[in-house]
Amino acid sequence: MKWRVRRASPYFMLLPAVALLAFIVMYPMVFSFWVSLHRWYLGKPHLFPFIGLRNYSTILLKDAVFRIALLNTLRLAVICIPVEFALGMSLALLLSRGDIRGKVIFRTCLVMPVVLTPVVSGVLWKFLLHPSYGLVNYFLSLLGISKVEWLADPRLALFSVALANMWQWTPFAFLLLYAGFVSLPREPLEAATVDGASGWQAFRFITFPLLTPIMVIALLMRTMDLVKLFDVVYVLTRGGPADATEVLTLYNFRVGLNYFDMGKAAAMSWIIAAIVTLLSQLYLRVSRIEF
Amino acid sequence: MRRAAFFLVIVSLVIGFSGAVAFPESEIRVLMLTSPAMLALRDMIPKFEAKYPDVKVVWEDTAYADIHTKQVNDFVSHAGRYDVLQMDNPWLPEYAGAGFIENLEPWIEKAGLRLWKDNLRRWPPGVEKYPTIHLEDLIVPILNFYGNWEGNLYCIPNMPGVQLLYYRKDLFENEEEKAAFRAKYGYDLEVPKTWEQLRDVAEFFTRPPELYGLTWSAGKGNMAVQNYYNIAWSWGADCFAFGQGFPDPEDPIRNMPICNSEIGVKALEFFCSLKPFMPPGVAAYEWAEITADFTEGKAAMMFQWSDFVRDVEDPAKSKVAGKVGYALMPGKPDAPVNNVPGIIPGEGYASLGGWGLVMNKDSKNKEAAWKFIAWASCLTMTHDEMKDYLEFGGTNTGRLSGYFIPETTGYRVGRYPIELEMYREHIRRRPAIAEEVEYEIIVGTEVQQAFIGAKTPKQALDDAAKALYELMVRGGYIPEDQPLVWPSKYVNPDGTKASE
Repeated sequence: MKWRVRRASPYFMLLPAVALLAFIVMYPMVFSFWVSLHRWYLGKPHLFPFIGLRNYSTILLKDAVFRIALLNTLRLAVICIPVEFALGMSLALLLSRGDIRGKVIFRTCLVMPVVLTPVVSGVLWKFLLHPSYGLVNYFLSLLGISKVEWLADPRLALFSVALANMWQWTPFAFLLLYAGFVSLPREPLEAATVDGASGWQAFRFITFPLLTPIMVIALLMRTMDLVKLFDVVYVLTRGGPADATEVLTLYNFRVGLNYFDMGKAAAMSWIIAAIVTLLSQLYLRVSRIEF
Repeated sequence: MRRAAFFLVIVSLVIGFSGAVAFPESEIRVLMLTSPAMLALRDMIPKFEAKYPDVKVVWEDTAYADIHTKQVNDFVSHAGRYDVLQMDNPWLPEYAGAGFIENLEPWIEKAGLRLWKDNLRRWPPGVEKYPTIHLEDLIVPILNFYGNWEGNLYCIPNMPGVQLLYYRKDLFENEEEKAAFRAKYGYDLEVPKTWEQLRDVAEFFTRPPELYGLTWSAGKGNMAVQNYYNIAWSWGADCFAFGQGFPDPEDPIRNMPICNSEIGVKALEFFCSLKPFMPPGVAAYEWAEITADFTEGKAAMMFQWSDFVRDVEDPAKSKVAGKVGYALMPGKPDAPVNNVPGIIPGEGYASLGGWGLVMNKDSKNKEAAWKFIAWASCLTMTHDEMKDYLEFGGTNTGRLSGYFIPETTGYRVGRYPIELEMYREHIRRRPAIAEEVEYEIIVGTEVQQAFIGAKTPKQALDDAAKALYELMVRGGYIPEDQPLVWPSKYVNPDGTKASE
């Protein structure tokens, strides 16, 4: 009897945490999947017909706006991640040198955009990029460049969103990489210097491999964040002009909380979750890192 | 003994005090749109609470982008968090149709207010099924567009709105400008009465970057769709074969989209042709940005909601305060007899905007909620209270008498007579479907596609028609096995009315 109690006691202790987890994580997930198999329009909440996978097939095969949103999200990832990463890496390399003065000031300034909420950052950029009253166009006008429609021109709008996003999140890449640099062991680098390795060789063959896990984490987090990008686009363009800056989560929000088509919105959430999972697995496979 | 006497005095004072001051019995939570008018109303809440000491108001206001979501979430959860809600008028079919809001007629009757119905002139035009509702001196078209759902009253207007033509009197009355205009166009410079005149005037005053002819918006969704239809209606185009009223429950063919008619395409081509005379960036403008251009003196004309007059006439905010005139929307004299019921060629039309008050069916304090609705919609406000509301809020009311108070800015600058004229004969309603928000985004996005040159107007409206057809099928207005067809028995392919 005592043996049985002793064996069961860890499960009893785990029970509250498991119950809580089941309630706040598992139940909403299962419910959202269940909803995604139904047509559920909140304007007629009493109607809840089961339609199987039709919401999924509609989104993947027939929904042109979803395709545009997916493409725009990927475009943003392709523009933002390399730039944020390259800038973050350069800044981290620069500030990890011992002979830079005023490091604290630089670090503090660099961290400030990350501290702002994305909505504030969006409003800030909306003012900066305003065609008639914005500072960006003012400075361009001093160079004789006529007014640029940053947010109203479909060829520029996505770039403007990318610009605001990169401004805010480059410091995040910098912070992660900088933390990685300063925590690297000094011995291999010192040994390489003694063996006559050049600065580039030391970076390529020692710093870079040692930093790989942190770089993968940085890439992974930024990719996941970009697939979930919402606030800045919502404030800057609301997905416009037309569908030029429509992104996945904004469209998902619109379907769920503007159109109240909850079945379709739930299905779209699962598709977005699948995309994020696939991308993160891809990163881990390519980098051959295990967690 | 002395201690007992002291205690008695304290007790009697407390009892006396509590008798003199009535503690509120009911607390109501109201959800309103964040706007100058509603903030003025919020500041007047102490007056309401003094009038009704048994009611305490917990005020909440939120931005346009969030208010619909908040309201529907409250309705669907049946939490009854909000007792009174401010509703944008196109949401009536959604809210009343789903049974989210209370029929106000029993409360009106209980309050002894005058409410009657007749069949003399039915609202909205084109829908012959239900009688017209009259309530006190409320303006009949507004009251019925906002609140008449299947012949019963669910909403009372408290912040109506319609777009007006704002123009710079100093420019239009300048003798040099007049002479230059006459020399260039061969007729006198005056406030445009037709869309063609408007384009000439807009072109004439376009002198970038200091001055543009017109500031308007083709912003995504709400802005683009409303502004486009302000042109399209007077051109004779419409969005659905059922016109501006309710979908036809009996004939699904009448619920087919007709937005891509020849007239509709021509109207969109015209809307896009105005772009060179507007400041850069209007394709992404929201309402406030239009006003910013005008108050900065960067535009000779502006189409804008009537409640922006407050900002335009405030010298602290506006460089053009005191120099602004107000006029009706332009029309198109050669417009054909068309599908839109009630349109007179040559007259201008504008989308009816504005908000009214509704009572949550799940409210636990309906008595108190009604008191607030009646007061905040000006029905039980005193003359002075209504004057303060109109003046400090820079707004208007659904009550006719509110438009004739000489101390108000709206009356003084000549806004109210124009606005009243718009309400009487020149307003159109957006399609009265529960999916109105989605309709706006579909058509608004396609209009914007044409405006920015990403699609031709024909291509954009064809795509809008396909998406609207899918919306109507999803909404149950068209059966799934009914393909998209042109409703020839109601409308000719060019958009004109089919002979019956």
